[in-house]
Amino acid sequence: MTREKCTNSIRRLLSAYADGELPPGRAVSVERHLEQCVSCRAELADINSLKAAVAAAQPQFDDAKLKSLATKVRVAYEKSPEPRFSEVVGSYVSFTRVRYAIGAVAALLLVAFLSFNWGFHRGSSTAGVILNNLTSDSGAITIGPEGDNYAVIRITRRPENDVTVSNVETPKGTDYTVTVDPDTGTTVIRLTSRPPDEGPKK
Amino acid sequence: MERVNEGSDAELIKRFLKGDREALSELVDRHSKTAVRIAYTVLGNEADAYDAAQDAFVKVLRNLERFSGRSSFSTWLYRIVYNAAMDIGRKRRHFVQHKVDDDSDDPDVEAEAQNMREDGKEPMEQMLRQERAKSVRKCLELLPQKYSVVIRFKDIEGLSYEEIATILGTTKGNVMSRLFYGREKLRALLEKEKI
Repeated sequence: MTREKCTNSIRRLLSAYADGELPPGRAVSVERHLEQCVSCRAELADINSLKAAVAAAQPQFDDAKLKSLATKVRVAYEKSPEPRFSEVVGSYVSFTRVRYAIGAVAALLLVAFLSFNWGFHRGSSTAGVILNNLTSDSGAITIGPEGDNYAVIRITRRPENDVTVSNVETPKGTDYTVTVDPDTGTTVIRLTSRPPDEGPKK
Repeated sequence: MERVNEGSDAELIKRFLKGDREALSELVDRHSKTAVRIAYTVLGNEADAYDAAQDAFVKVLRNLERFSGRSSFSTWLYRIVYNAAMDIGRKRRHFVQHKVDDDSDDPDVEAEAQNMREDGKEPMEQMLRQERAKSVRKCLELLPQKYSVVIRFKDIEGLSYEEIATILGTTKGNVMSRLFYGREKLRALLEKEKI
């Protein structure tokens, strides 16, 4: 006779209960359910018997061969070169996680780029760069997406955290503003957009 | 799984880092059985399993100074064993599913035959047990690897969900789901085999 089974979510809990992996509160709920449910009691017995059958089917390996592994490892260790950085990282990081992480970063960059671009074309105020973390005394930065509204700016930092901006290269129709907060010394460079009626550049 | 004393692992690691090569042997000896079995779970081939375990041990020893202790030493080691086995599997492109009908490379068959010879008892009961174990192994090998690995890690090695999740680089919830669906599939296969 086939017995009517409970839902998969309950049966999944039974599997974890059989493994002793449920937190105490959950385990008590399962036990209460088991008191009333014949089907789940039978299911639990099935799971336990399956676990025992799998445990009994464990592979056996020759003890002498296992014992010789230590010697082989020792020889291989003495011969092995120092690990390369990529090997060290590779042993900790799963390929799947790396793929997910790369995907997530790419998605974030895409969203950031699109939002930035959209704001620009809509004529909303600006794209800006804060220079308070400028570490070198001079350098060049590009603000804005390449081939569209952008500026290449050479920055020279002078004493007292003052910053000069020179050699500015901007395409026609773009402009920029430089503001310095006198209290914090923070310099913000903002690109102003095209006029709103001009719309996105094709 | 033969649980080993993590405190003793820490002691052995200290001794090894101070240059004591005997500590290396002790460390390998206490984890070799589980390490080889984990690799065998992935590869289904004894010789490859030993190679993977050896590669992993060498990598671990080379990087012991970097071991942060966030997880236990054994979990860290088994994760590296698992990855080493996956690497060998990728290179050799033979995974456990392809070995189902080939007993020649099955360490269990030899070991069981040896046990029977040593026991010298009425072999009937042992033969039945042996047959049943063989069928369970065969069905485990027919399962997709993502299920067979978690079932073996849990029911043979006795690892916790957290340890399995760390070794496989996944979540505890995922381990729980894979165990549930894997057991469902295993039971269906065993019913077909009439076990």
